[in-house]
Amino acid sequence: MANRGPLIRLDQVTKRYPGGGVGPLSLEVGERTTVALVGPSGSGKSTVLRLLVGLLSPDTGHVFVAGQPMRADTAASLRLRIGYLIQEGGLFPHLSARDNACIVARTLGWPSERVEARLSELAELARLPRSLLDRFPARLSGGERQRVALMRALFLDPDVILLDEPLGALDALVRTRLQDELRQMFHALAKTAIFVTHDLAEAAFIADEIAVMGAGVIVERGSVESIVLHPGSELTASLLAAHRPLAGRA
Amino acid sequence: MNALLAAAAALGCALLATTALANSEHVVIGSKAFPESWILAESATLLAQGVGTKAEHSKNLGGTEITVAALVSGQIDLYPEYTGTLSEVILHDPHLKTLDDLRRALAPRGLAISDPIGFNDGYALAASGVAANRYGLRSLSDLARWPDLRVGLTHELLGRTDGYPGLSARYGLSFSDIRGVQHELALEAAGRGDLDIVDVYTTDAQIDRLHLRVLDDDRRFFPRYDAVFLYRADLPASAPAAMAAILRLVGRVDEGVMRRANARVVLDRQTVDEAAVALLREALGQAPETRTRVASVATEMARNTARHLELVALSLAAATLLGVPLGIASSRSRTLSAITGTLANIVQTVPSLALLALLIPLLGIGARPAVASLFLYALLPIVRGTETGLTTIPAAIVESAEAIGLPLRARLTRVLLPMASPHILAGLRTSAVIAVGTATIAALVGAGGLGDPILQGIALHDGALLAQGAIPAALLALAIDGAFVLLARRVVPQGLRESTRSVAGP
Repeated sequence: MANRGPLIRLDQVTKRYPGGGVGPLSLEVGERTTVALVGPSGSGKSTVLRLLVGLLSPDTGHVFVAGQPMRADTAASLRLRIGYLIQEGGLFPHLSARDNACIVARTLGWPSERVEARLSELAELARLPRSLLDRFPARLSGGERQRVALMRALFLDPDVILLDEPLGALDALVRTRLQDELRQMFHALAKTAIFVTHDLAEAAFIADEIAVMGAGVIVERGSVESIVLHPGSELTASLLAAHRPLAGRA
Repeated sequence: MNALLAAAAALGCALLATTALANSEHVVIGSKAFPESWILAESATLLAQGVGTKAEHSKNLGGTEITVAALVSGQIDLYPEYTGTLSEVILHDPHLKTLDDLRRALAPRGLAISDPIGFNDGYALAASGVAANRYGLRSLSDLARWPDLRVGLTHELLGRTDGYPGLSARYGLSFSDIRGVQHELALEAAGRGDLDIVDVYTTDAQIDRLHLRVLDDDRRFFPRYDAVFLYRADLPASAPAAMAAILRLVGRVDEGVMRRANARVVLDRQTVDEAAVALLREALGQAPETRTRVASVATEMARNTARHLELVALSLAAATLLGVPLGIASSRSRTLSAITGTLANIVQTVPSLALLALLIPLLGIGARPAVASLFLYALLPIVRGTETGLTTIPAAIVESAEAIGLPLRARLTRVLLPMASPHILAGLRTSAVIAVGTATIAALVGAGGLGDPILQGIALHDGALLAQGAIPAALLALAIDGAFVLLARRVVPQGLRESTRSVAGP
């Protein structure tokens, strides 16, 4: 496939659901680019990811991943090229960390040596001690669970990574540490990724570009510098202002 | 060599002899769930076997409806019935009184009746021996002269308009001391002389033992319950030898003979086989060799328990094979969920006896209708358990399974069903325990199991016999319950059983 176009493309997509909706919305993300989708709760950020992975189908418009339309008949094969990770990880509680990480590869019939090799590789990348691989999710900390979920999302070496508030449920210390690691990882992997967060500082720290969402539409998109230094919308300005400097109390 | 030839010849002769004795007829004789029915059916079976017919006794079928359904569908060929039951319960026309009337009404159903066997098992009033002698009581007409008699009647007879109210009008009775008393207690009281008049069935086993005198219904108030053989109209043609042998009983069994045979089973705890042989000896002056095999209590219990388990296992396996897929489908479609829910609820409200009666025309008697009804009862908890198990999986898990690219089949087998397994197992467990309890009704359709001793124990007021069914059934239910706890430890994934305690640190 001539893979020169954008890896992710939303074309005039709308989706209504009870109590809200998104669109019309267009978005393109090129190769090796990490875009942070930032906006307040209910602005439709997660809906965009759910449209991209085919959990929702648009009312109007089209969704393309790696140049192919995301439809009911293409979803199964396209999803294998997407790594998807949600806030609480969505780990299967009845499977060990190891089985969670490699479940799709096993289903696809990977030989066990290949599975084991990939597990080692990813455990190192995600900095998960190998001793934890045999634990069930209930016996892992929140941060460890997200590391396992990340291993699962990356297992098939997908073209596209979609992360929906991956650090949202973690406490501040763990969160900061994982932000550092994610940033390094994205740079090292050079993947196309969309990273959903409500935290503009986190977005600015990890992503190359920022798209600000409000009320179901993208109000602004640009490089981290341009968005942070020259906010082009009231929403962006208010998101920037929402960070209370600690010095203010001193 | 000669010896061998001789042996072969002897064997040949023996074979010839047995084939000459046997005929090609095969009849199944049914009985309802009370001793008199068993004894008459066993007597008929022995008579048919006496002429070489392959005859078997399908004992202890449920109510009249089930037995008639078995007869009409050809599962049984003949069973003892009463004229009153024929007109009231089977034909629903109380005006059919004469044998000719009944025969005309039965013919369109392909059924026929014999002439009366000889006794009437109907309602009657009986006087205690002391009262009968003191007041010279022989018939119901005699009662009108003694309004001070102490009378204890069953509540049923007191309440029905065709019971005591009609009776007192017909005979001009006006007792001052009349009360409702439970049947057994009334009989005992009359036996002790504490009551003068009680109601009885005319062939009640207790009548002779308690020295009661049955009073003649001289103004013909009570409906007749003359015993007859009810059979398929094609039986005389298909089994002429057996038919002729059984009809020898016609006109030969009077109330006394029947009462004594009933007493052997009910009071003396003899086997039905022994009572039937005694009845044949009294009625016909001859009897076939008895071939009673008295199995030990332990063997009987083991056999009944094994049969019980077989019925439960079959129905549960079938209910699981259908119920789990139906539960999966219901979890994905609200419409289907409503439909399966409604259907299963309807089945659950149908009384088990009615369900069996409905199934007999389709499946006959024996294990098939029993397994089918148990299957239907077991279905709901399994469907519901599967559906609940699947619909209560957190949405994040269900969506993750889909979004990471697992195909539907793998999602079900690797993620959804294992996560739903505690609920599915709970449904199975409920179904299994219900099935063990409900399977006792299988005996009503001749399927055997632990219901057999229970039914017989109830009919005979024999607590020990009843316990031989009830106790193993209760233990079986407990054992199966326990087995499911153990099964859950194996089947439910370990990760689901681990407590969700959180661990500190990244």
